[in-house]
Amino acid sequence: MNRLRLFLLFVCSVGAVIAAPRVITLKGELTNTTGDVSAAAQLVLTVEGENVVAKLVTAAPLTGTGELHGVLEDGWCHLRGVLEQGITMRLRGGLNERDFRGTYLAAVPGELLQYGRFRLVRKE
Amino acid sequence: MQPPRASASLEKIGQKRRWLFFLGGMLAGGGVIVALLFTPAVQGWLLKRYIAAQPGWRLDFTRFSAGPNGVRADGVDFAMPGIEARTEPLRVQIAPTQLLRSRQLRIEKVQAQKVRLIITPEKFATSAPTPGLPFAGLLPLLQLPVSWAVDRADLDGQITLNEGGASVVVGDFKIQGGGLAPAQRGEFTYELSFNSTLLPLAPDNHVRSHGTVHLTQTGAHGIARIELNGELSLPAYGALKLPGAKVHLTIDGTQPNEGYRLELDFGEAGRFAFAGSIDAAAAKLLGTVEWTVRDSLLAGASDSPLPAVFTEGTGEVALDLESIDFTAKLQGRFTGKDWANYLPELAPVPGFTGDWSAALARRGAQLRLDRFSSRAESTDGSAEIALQLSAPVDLLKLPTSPVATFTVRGLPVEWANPWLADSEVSVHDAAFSGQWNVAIDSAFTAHFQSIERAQATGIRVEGFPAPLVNIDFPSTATINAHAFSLQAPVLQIDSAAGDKVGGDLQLSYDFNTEATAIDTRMRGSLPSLFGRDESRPSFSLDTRFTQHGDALRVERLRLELLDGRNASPSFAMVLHHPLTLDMNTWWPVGLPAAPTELLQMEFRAFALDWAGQWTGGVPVVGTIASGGSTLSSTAEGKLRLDTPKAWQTDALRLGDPALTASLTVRPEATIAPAEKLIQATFALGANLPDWPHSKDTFGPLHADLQFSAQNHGNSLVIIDALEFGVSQTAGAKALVSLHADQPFIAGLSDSGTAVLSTLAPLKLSLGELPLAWLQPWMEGIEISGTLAPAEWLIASQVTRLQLRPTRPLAIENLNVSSDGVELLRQADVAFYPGLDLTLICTTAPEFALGFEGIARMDDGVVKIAGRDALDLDVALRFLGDDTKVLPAGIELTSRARLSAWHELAWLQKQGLPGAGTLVTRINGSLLGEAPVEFWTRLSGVKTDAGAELAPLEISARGKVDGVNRSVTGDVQVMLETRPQRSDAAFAAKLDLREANLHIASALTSRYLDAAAMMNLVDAFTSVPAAADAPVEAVASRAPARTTSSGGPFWSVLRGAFDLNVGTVEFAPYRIDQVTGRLTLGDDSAVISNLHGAMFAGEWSGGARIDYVADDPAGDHHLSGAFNIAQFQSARVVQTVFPDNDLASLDALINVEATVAAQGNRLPDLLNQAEARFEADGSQGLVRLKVPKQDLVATAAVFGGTVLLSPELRALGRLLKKFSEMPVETLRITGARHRSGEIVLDAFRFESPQARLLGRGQIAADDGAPLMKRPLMLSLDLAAKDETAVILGGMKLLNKEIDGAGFRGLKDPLVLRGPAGEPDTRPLYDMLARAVSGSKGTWGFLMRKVQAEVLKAQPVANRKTADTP
Repeated sequence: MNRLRLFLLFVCSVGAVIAAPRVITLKGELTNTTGDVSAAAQLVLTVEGENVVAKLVTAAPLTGTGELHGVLEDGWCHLRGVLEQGITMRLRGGLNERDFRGTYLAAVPGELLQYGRFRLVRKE
Repeated sequence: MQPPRASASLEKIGQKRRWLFFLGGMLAGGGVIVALLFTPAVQGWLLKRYIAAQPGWRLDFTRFSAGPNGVRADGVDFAMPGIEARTEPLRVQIAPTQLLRSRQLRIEKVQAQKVRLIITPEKFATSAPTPGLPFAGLLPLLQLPVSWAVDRADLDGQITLNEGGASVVVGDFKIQGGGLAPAQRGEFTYELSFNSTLLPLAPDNHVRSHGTVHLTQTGAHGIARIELNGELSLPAYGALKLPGAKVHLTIDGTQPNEGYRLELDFGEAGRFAFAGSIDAAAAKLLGTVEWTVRDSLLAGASDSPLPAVFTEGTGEVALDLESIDFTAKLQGRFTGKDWANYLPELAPVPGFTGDWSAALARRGAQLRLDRFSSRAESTDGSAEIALQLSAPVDLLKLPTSPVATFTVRGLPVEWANPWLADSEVSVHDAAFSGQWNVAIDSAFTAHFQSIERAQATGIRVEGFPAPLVNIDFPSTATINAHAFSLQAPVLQIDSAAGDKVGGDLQLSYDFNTEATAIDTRMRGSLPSLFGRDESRPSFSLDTRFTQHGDALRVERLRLELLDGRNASPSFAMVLHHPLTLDMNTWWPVGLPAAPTELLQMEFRAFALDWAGQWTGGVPVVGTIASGGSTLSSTAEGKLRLDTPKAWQTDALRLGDPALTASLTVRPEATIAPAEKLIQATFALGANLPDWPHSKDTFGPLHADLQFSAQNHGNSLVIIDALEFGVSQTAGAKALVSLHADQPFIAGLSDSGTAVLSTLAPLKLSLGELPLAWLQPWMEGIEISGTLAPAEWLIASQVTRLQLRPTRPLAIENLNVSSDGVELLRQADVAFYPGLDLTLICTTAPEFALGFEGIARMDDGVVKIAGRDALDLDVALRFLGDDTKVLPAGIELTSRARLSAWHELAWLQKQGLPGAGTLVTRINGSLLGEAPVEFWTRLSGVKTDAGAELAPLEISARGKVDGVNRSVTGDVQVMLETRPQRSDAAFAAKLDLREANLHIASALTSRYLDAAAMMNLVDAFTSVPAAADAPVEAVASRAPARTTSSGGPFWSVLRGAFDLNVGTVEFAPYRIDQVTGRLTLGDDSAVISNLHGAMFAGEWSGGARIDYVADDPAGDHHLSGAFNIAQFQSARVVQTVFPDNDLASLDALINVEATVAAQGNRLPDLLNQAEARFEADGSQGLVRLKVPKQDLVATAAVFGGTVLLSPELRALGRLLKKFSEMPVETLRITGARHRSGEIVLDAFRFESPQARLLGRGQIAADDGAPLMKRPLMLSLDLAAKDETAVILGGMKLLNKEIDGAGFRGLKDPLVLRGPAGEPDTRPLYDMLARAVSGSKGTWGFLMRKVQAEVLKAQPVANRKTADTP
């Protein structure tokens, strides 16, 4: 019985090590192409399996902070969430060993959808 | 009382006294005379008397005094013929001693101020120095009776030139100088400034001149020559500002006839010269004139450049000095070109050259132009303009009858095209001609009366579908300084197409007020515009309008169109009250105060058949059955457009086959000129026919358009309400609709830019549309599916427009096939299309369009048969103008799931794997100002056996060259092989025009796993199958591989580049430090100079693949040769069988191989390659060992010694021999067949005591490495020396000895097993059989040996070995 407990403990420890979340920090620039405005941004991805939790912080003039959720599969990354400013963000793009680039949508309540693009470089 | 003596004395005394009195008297008288002579009055009287002695001379003064050294006079009034002079004061300092001693009047200094000099030239001729003699010139007048000289003169004053009793020139002069003496030329400087009645009044209209005058005396105390050289500046004559000139005047009295020469030199700009002399006998001045003038002389007269004009002329002039009559015969020529310098519209006008001649004479009160003719011809000879005087004419008393003819011939109508440029219409291929009599009345009004009708025939019109047009009209015209008028009472315009318009036209233009009036009545028919059938309308136009300043006043307008079927007009527009428009704004001004109906317009069965020729060949049939609108003024000062009878079409049919539609249009508006405001409503209802090919989809449609709008300023419109919809039937749900919830503004801003601003977004909706409707336009493609309803919001701020979808644009159940190939099946496509657009559109001064924007496709999803196939986001940045659109940037991310696409058979055939995910990203600029990056990752691809292949990543970064349409950059390829990643890097140029990728640098790599790459290539390699073969059969790689590949397998790769690869591994083999050169062409791929290190040997070779399209045996042809020099065979064995210790070949071997193949794909070439190879080895050892060789051999020898068994001792020695046999010769030749089977034609191994000769084969085993394929090698073993003794002792050898001393085995030895690890057990079996009689220890040892051999072999081999 003790041997079984030890075995289970070992298996769980190994599983915990294997499943430890991966953190990817990215910094770069978001450009609102509808308004032709750019701002610095930071995105911290916490990856568990295919699931991703992202913390987005953008500087003025596109000020925003919030948590996004999504998936990362084979370099394809899709994030969505509502920022603290009430802006619904959707980012999609390709994430590779160097950077994360793609397009985003920003839905501001009461306004037409804003279009944009981003390029965030890994800072690991 | 006095004594007589005293008387005598007194007489003497008296005589003396008388003498004394006489002498005293004389002295007193002389003194008185001298005193009188010194009195100014006497002196002045004497001087006057002296001056008056000269004919025509006169001198007077108010005060005169003369001293020994000079004279002073005040109020001097001097006159000589033609010259009067007054001065105050005048001081003359003379040298009296010179006068007394040399009779020379030497004026040492003359000073006069405020001299007033009046010159009357006509009096010169009446003032001959000697009465009775003719006037011989000016200089004879300037003569004194005594010798004279002027040392210094200092004069200033005013000069006046009289003519006809009036002063025509008044100016100031200043003269300084002197040094004039009988034998000495005097030099004076002068400054002259004068104005003239000939010049316009202006503050500074003075002619100015300064320079020098040289005077030379004659021997007769006169002036022999006057020579003036100076600078002349002329005042502006209006806008004309002439350049400065050099003036040279010479009056020469040294010749019998006094000569004159005047020259004005304007440099390059022009020159005028007169040269003449007086013919005293005839009392005439005879001379010649000549001049040249270029446009630069008049350049100052115009703000714009002038055409290049040059004129020159000569003439002969004779002036009667008594009557001032003159005659002049003048002629000249002129050229002109570059008319566009002056007016761009004159660009088509070529150069002109011409000449003229004239004879002009003054006869008393007449100024006669006896002759004048001028003719100019264009340099291309096409056009001619001429003016010819009909009869002599007195210019001072012009007759009312014609005096000249004016002719134009062949003026190309193209010259008018620049003025028509705005209309985009041009005229060609005709010329305008006409001839007019010209009369000039006393008011200098020229009257033109047609002699020949003005006409132009065969005018071809471009930009407007008109036939050849003829214009013909007689005309009269008048022109003077104030006005121009043209009357064409019989104006005829006709064409070859039967157009015929006639009427009259009157046009007038006032130069002062710039007012124009046109009054015309036209009537005719225009079949070229309105068609030829009976319905063609004829028209009648009666109008008069005037234009004065910005006001265009339509005083009369009546336009009627009649077709041949109705007596009453089918269209009529009548102006009931004059209407004035401001031409700047086109707003009406001066409306009647009371409500008045101004204009009425009415349709009555107005046939539209004629419109067909204006619709691009689409026939139009139908009528505007009825309709009526009126334009009225209101009491509030506004205009009101009412349409009490809506414009209603009847049986309107368009196209062939005809599409029938009916329209109802009702325009209404209120126009407030004061506020410049128009409020309009417009309603259109249209019953539309079936759209093309939509009979089974939409059927008949109905369109409704309603809007109300008002202008905002001159060019902006506020649309208060807008509703547009197209539906299948009236009231049904719209197929397309546009709706505005709130007003929006559209139009042109003050700067002429098109703007659109919305308060709230417009809503654009699209109803459900079956894609089958597109089928007729999809040639070769069959399509089905349904476009689901879609909706967009359109918002705009000035020039920035946004289009946002409110729901995805979805296509459901999309099926697409082409030529029977099912390209897409059961697909659902959905995406959110959006647009950000900045549009700059200006209309003035000319149309210009520029735009930039971003088109988006977000959340794009493609599903095939319900399975996710593609996720796609695209943002395409673009810019352009009215001529082109350029892609400027892209942000694209996509994810393709290959398993879903694999459902499509045509992609299967293309080799698409059944599993895997392809994520692709493209970002950056497409215009080259910033890099564009490409990255893609392919993962999850599996082999046929289900093994997952290493993920592949390709990234590239480069710049777009828009001019050459190429992308140049660096490419990196990474294959996640383990334990080491495969990589490759190179620079490449992607040629978008040729769709080729040129590798432009060395291909460098640290490591390449060739096997993994081959697996990946193989996974994407299609396996052509028989048409009816099931997919499973395809997957089994049936040998039917003859389908053409459609192109070289290196596809779009091009270029010649070096290879530099650290390691190429094709496990278990590897080649290090691979270098070479790969050349990829359109039809060949050549790899040359391959070098590397393999198993410590030098590997080299080369190969080429030629692509031969349509070769039924395979379109790729491979040929090549490889060799490995001195490779260590032991390294091969150790690499392939690291645990092997039973047999080894340790030698240095050379391998030569040639290879050839033909196939359609790269795997075919490799799998079906035919090769011949030859291996030669030497300097090595062959080891055939048994496990624990030394122990067994020692035991055998020891056992044999102890047991006295000779066989056992022999075996022990043999095992030692086999354990290390020197290689003398090793030669293997063979071939690889297309099937993959390897045939060993000859196997020859020679060592000092053993020789193996054999033949064999390695069976084809697709997928298995060579060294592990089954080997069958039949060997003839021969031995000599000790080995022969041992084996002979074991009775295994024949008794015959060949020439080399070898004895062969009785039975051949056949080795089997993996090629790289042959099963040596038969050898030991044979040895065992040789000692089969042995028991005990021998039997034990042999069983042990066999057991060890068996145990040492891999399980697979053991099974193979166990297999019979």
